[in-house]
Amino acid sequence: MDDLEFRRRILADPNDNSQEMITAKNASLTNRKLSDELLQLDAKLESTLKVDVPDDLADRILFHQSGQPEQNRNKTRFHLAIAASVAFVFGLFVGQFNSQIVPTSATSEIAQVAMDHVYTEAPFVDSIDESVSLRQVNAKLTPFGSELTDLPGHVYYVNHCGFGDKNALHMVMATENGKVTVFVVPEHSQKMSSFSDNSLEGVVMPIQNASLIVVGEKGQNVAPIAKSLESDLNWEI
Amino acid sequence: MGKFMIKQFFRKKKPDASVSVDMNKQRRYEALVRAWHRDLYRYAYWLCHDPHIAEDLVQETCLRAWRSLDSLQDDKAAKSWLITILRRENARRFERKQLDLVDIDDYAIADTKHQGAEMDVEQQILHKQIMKLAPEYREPLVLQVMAGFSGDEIAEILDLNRNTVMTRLFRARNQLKEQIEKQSERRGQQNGRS
Repeated sequence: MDDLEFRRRILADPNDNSQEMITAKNASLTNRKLSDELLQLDAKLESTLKVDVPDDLADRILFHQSGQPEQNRNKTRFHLAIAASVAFVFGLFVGQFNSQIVPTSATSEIAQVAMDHVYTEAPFVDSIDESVSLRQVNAKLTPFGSELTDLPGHVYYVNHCGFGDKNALHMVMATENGKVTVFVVPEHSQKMSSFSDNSLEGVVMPIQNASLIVVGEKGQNVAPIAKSLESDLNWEI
Repeated sequence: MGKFMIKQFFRKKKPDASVSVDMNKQRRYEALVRAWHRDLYRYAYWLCHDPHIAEDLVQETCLRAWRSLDSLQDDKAAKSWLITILRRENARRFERKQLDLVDIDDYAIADTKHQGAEMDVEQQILHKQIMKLAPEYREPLVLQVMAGFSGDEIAEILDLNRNTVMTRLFRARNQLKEQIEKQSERRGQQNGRS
């Protein structure tokens, strides 16, 4: 490569690192010097060419674009609006469910089963008094991972029973307010709720992963019974 | 039952992917803007010598890029694609400006005011010298040094053949080099006298 050719190429691109240019750069001291000088010039050029860019330019560009009325854009907005509306209505709906429908609908099912039980077993249970001991009650409570420290009152009857598709504890006991039927159902309920029909009244109370149901006669205050029972139950788990 | 209906509702919604496509486009656009707005702005600045016009040019460029983003197949080509759009926008500006009859000297004044404060003397001189280059020499130089394009890429952007580009780059540096040498000679003489 002659000097003129080298000069032409090094000035056009000082970073040309092709094999022939590397050889030419090292061919003479003059070439080496010119190459270094031009690399220096390029470094200065680069820092001069890179003028300050406004800090928030990117954001301004993006903001500008988002304000543009454009077909595609409208479509996006339309979809977003629909999605937002659906989400909003859905949110309202779920809110309603949470405050009302879910507890009553979920627990009313257990409550209904409990009341059915009381009705069907009433003729049999009413006349029975087995004077059940604490040990017997606790034996029946074992599958639920729970036991009582003391008998909450006179227990007439205790047994397991089919409760819907589950097995529950069925216990008839005496309280200050009269006879009640207690169920421990291995089904989770969300929060305490009460139920009643023409002749029965009861509460469903969540305990651990199960539900404690106390059913008494209409007008009987069963909530305090459920609460004291709950505090008497010791959970192993 | 209720749960089932809700599931159905969302299942039905899923195949309609236009929302997610639009979101993808938005994300892609944002990534492009964030990656290249600095180069675009600087390039625009060296085309028009004015920070405000440079910003307008970048805004216009990005807007056009958004509208035709689908035509950009490969994101690796994004930079030269954007530069090409910007050059077109600048050309449009000149068409408009011929009607406006704006005095170009105004911009030169605006420019020195804007940049003067932050630069050291050497850079200020170099800045002026770059501005003094003819646009056809300055433009490939900016593309090469600031944006890092190769001779072939510059040739494609400027729609010239590669030899022409290399010749212009040679002349651009040659002029700058001569001016710098002249300047240091002058300074040397002054120092010699005093």
